[in-house]
Amino acid sequence: MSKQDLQDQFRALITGHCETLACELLEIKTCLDGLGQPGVVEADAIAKGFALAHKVKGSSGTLGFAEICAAAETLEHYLRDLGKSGAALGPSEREQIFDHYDLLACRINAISPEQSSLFNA
Amino acid sequence: MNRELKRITYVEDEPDIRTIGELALTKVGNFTVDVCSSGAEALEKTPQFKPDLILLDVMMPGLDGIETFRSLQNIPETAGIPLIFMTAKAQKHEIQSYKDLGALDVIPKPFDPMTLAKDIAAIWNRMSDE
Repeated sequence: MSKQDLQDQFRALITGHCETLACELLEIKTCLDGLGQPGVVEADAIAKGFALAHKVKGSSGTLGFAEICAAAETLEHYLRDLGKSGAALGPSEREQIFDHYDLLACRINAISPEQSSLFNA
Repeated sequence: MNRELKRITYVEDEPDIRTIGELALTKVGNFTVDVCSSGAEALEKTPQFKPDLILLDVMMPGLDGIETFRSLQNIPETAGIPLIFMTAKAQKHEIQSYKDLGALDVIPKPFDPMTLAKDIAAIWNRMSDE
């Protein structure tokens, strides 16, 4: 396989990953929107949000999107700490969650394959 | 140990990470790789594939990396095969805890696909020199 072929495969994967991230962001939003809703167990929603943010962190980082990885990590760590504390969420915790989510959403919504450090590897 | 590293079982549940990891190992590193998407699949396929090394993600649904590792150690054909964990939890004390379990080393996630093969070869060579 030539270097060009390998780069083409990387680029196809990176381009597909941009679409995957948009879907995963929607999953995170759906999960976080459930917080405080009737029938939603807060601890379960936080654990799910943590797992989803962890997933985005790992895949975006490996695919060369360092800024998205960093934003996902911030949300992941915040949700992890909330989960560990076990305390009920107050308005300030909810606001903080959505601040972290908004930063992640802002970065994913502005994504392009060329931003990946692997695009020209 | 002076055996050459040729065959790797690579276990990762995330599809995009799995694909780029496979590319990194096969096209950049020229290894022969058996890819598994879960711990259960690794337990089923690894005894037949007989790898020189197992590369195992830690955080996976179902059987996680630690449980998979322990199960592999209980299968005669796979017990003793050197194993490297791949995880975001790679602070010094965490790496030591994986080594205490019997792992050869840890590759921190996210990994760099362009240097993954080289990093694994370095760990393998270090083990060979010991």
